[in-house]
Amino acid sequence: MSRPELEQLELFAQVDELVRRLAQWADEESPWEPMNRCAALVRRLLTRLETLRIRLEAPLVVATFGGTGTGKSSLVNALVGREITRTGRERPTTTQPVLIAHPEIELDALGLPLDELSIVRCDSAMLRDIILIDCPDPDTSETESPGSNLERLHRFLPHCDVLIYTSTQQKYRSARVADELGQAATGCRLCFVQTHADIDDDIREDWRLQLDSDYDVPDVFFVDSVRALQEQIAGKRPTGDFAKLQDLLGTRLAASARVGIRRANLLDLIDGALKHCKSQFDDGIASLDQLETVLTEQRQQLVDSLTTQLRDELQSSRHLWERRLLSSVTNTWGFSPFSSVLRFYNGLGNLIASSTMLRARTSAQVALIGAVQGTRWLSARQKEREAETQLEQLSSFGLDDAMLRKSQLVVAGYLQEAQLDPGLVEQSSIDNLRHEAVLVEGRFLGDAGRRIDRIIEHLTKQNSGIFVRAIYELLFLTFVGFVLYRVGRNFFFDSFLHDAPLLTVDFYVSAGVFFALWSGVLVMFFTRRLRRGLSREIDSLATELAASRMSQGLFPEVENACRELQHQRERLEMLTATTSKLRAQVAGTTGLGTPVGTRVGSL
Amino acid sequence: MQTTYSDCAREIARLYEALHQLERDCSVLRIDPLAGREWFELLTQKLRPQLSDDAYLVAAVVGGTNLGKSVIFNHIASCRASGTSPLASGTKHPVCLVPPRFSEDHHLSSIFTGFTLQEWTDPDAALREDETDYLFWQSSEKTAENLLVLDTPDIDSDAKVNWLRADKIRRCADVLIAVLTQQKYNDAAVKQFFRKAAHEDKAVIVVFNQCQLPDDESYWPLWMQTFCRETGVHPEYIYIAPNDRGAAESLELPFYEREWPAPTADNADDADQVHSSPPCDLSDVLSRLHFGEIKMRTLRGSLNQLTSDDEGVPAYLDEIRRRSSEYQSAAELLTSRNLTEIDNWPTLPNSLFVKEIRDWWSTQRQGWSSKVHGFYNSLGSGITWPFRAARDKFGTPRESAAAKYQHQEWEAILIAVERVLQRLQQFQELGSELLRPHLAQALSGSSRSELLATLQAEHEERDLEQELGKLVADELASFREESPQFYRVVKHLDVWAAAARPAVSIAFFVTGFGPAGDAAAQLAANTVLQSAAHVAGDVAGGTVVAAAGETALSTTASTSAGYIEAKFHRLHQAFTQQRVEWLAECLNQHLLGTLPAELQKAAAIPQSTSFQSVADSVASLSHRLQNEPEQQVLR
Repeated sequence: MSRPELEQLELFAQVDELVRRLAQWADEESPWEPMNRCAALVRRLLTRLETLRIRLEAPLVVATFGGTGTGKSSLVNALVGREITRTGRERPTTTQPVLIAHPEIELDALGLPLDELSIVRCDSAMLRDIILIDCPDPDTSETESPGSNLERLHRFLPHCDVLIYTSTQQKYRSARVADELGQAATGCRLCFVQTHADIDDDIREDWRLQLDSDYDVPDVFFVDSVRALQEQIAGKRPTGDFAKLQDLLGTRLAASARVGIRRANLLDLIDGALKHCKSQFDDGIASLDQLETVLTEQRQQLVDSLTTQLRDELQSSRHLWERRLLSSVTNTWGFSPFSSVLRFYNGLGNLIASSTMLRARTSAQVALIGAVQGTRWLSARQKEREAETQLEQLSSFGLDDAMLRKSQLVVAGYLQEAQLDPGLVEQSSIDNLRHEAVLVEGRFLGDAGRRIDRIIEHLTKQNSGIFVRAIYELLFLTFVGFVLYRVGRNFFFDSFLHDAPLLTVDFYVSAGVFFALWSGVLVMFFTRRLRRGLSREIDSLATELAASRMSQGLFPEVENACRELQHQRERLEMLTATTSKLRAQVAGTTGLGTPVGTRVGSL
Repeated sequence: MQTTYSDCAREIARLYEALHQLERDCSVLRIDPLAGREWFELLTQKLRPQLSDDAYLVAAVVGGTNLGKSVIFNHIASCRASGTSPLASGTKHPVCLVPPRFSEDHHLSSIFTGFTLQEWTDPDAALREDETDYLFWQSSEKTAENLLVLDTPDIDSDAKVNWLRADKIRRCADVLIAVLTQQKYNDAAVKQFFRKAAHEDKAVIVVFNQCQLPDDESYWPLWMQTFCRETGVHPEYIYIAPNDRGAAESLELPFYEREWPAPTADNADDADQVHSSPPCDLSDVLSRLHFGEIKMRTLRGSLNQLTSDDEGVPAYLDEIRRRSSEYQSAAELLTSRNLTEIDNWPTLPNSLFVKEIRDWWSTQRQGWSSKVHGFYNSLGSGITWPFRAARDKFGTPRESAAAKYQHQEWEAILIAVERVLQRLQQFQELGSELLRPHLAQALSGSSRSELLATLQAEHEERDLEQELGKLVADELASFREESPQFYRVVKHLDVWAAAARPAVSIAFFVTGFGPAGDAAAQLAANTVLQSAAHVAGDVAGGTVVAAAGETALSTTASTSAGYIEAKFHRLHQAFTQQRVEWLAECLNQHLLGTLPAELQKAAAIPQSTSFQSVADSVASLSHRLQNEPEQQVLR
């Protein structure tokens, strides 16, 4: 296989892949109305592409296109080399399209509406590879009423692969024909011809200026069809521009070029449809973005209010902090005299607080109990608790019904504006919303709990340094040592040698009292030390939490839909980019004119 | 005749004024403006300037692009007055030939309204592209007196501004020199243009340019036939000109007159004779026209268009009527169902009522009973203060009853808003096109959050206590007036209570019920005190202590229990109603705004005076048109 052939094949494979991805893109059900419209358009396009694929190898259908009196029929006759369709000076001359084909070409397989055409078989060299259609004009009908030339023309255009656009000095700036061409050109290769060379001036330069903004124009031919026909009938070879035109059609539309031209047309069609989709997206994306902004804002508000609430509660639940910090410190210190005291103190405190703990009323307290414990507790509670208590808990965090309903109302409004299916919000009744709120709160508290754990770990580490430990242990042991010294001295020395009386119970009682007081003071100082900087930690926790983005708000379905649509949009843009790239690659190979900006014509 | 003219002119002036007034009034209807409507353009560009003026004729060369309009115009002018070019869409601005001394009697700018007039300097000025609608005029000895001849831009090219300029010229013209060719005589754009001209009864002179002579000699009658059939034009004269670019450039193009309808085969000799007739001068043809008759005819044609039921002012009035009735039905839809229907309003807790009633009652006390009650009340609150303070400090912070109630109200408001929005949504789905944008705006997310924010602010702004106090005072004052006897009974009870108070208070304080009584009373107020008789006791009592003790006393008043109960019920109802009304009003105001008023205003336009005066003017004009004897037309 030769290299250009390989390249060609690769190009075609890319086009096939593009079509496949396009079909995939349009296949998804979306809650967004513009997306559904786009998908419907693309699906329609795909059926048309399918017919194009079926006749990929069939002879090209070449049609004349142009205002009345611009010599379409004369040109067809000249191309074929004999008088086939009626030419005349009465407008419009051609009302029924004439199809001219080589006798050997099978027409049935082409999917053309044959019963509306008059078919002429003609054994001409020109017709070996193509089928010619002499079309009616687009500019004598004022409206597209049934039976009008315009209506007939519109029915044929989707079947044409190449349009020969004829014009004259009088007609080349006719607005109506230009408009119609704009509609028809998408999905067709173009060939520009100025006729009536015998009587008109050459206006090709000016015409090209007009065409340049909308079309890629390789060549414009200036032909005298009547003379060309006479020359051929007389057995001569035609001369001048007509010969060049004939040559172009003969080489560029040969059997080998069919697939290329059809792919190029196919790409034009895809491009037109995608551009249309993109404009639909662009129109709708502003309100969609707005919706997303609103959702983000709501999430942020939610985080803010949760954070404020949490901070206030954390600040006010001092004893719970103390408890956790102490147990954490004793765990790190392991067994030592002072840690035993701490442990004892903590145990005592826990005993008293245990009732409060288990009845931890607010969610912040739950978070403070600890992430692992807390979540377990929360999930266990969630199951067993009735909806009412759950709600109470929610409302303690400002997530009450009023707030939920309010955000539902607002989001529903934005949803409608964004043309999203309002069912996304309306289906979620207030019960569902409560459920979502509980989830949101759970996630938030889980996160907060983990951060609290980190704070506790941090504070513990800060207060478990060897220096701190040594001081407290030493201070504690000083008292114990002093008492032991007194007792020892009394027992071993004073009473033994000096007959001093043994220490009485009074001494032990007072020693015990002072022991309790001493350890109490030490514990107090230590806990105070522990709590030092706690407020700051809580504040920084709050700022951290407020800055963290909540992954999911109260309307996860809407959020998902928005994300999905942004994704669809990105895919659309990628498809458009691929199409443009392929178009650029293919367009150059056909040597024919193409529309620069494609439009959704008669899909 | 002259009188009819000036009568008509006055009527037209009246109509013009009335139309402007009507258009201002109609702004709420959002229908297309007058400018741009064919009949209105005729009114401003043809009837207003030309009805009052002396007879002069405006002849314009019109046709598709690149047919040689300017060439033909130059032939009439006998000089290169307008630039020509082999490229299409050459002429961008009209060029006008003005007879000498014409401008002494006439203002060109009032004849060609909508154009910026410039004196002609060179033929190519008209070819330059410019956004301003220029009209270049040139004095010419060649044209007949009182005849203005114009070259116009094309009517079918991709430069749509050319079409608009040509349309303006068409409206003020009396004679159109239609340049046709075999390629374009059947083009949609051309046909549309000349159909309008035919409706306005313009005199049309057809010139078939660029003919292939003699081949086309047998075709032009066919073309002509199609053209006349399609457009309804009845040409005055027909000329054919050969396709001869050289002759065209040197202003030597021959125009051969042809007879129309074409001569039949019987007098073919005649036809031959005609065919061999010498070419004629178009400017001569123009000066031969019967100015007065044509003027009359085109004015009548324009008047006919103006008063036509299908396309003229009556159609405009019909449109307004139709539109108005749509607004009418939209307004009906909005008011048909009570949009802001609110139920499930929360009931105010009795304790709040009781407090207000007590406060009011204490203002009614006079003399020593007031002092006794006052003393005990302050004593009671003094004693219970530490308990309350302790509760506030250590207990979970409790919302006050009022705040709690307001919160409940806010929830009810949200539910009400939700329902109203749902109803509006239904309207949007069922309702007319007119309501849809308004409703879409009201239902949009930003206006929703705005609405909720406003409602919340207004709701918080309303002082519940004050409102309640005012309501209670009003209601109880009316109670005092309505049943003075009962009021007296209660008052007596109150005095007795004051007398018994030291004993009662000591007894209760000793048993320890005093301080705890606060809590008990709260409970009682919400549950037991549902019975109105207890409320009466409460009213009579004053402090907590007294309230508990005077239950026995109040039983004496239980004969009137039913009355008080009804009274209390009424208080609740009155309060709820007040709040609900406030909300309904708020919703109407913020959601719909001035929409209902606007709809009503729009619905009333067909009854307005401006509408009537337009209708009257048109009726009088068409009456005049029908009764005036049919004028002889040209030839």
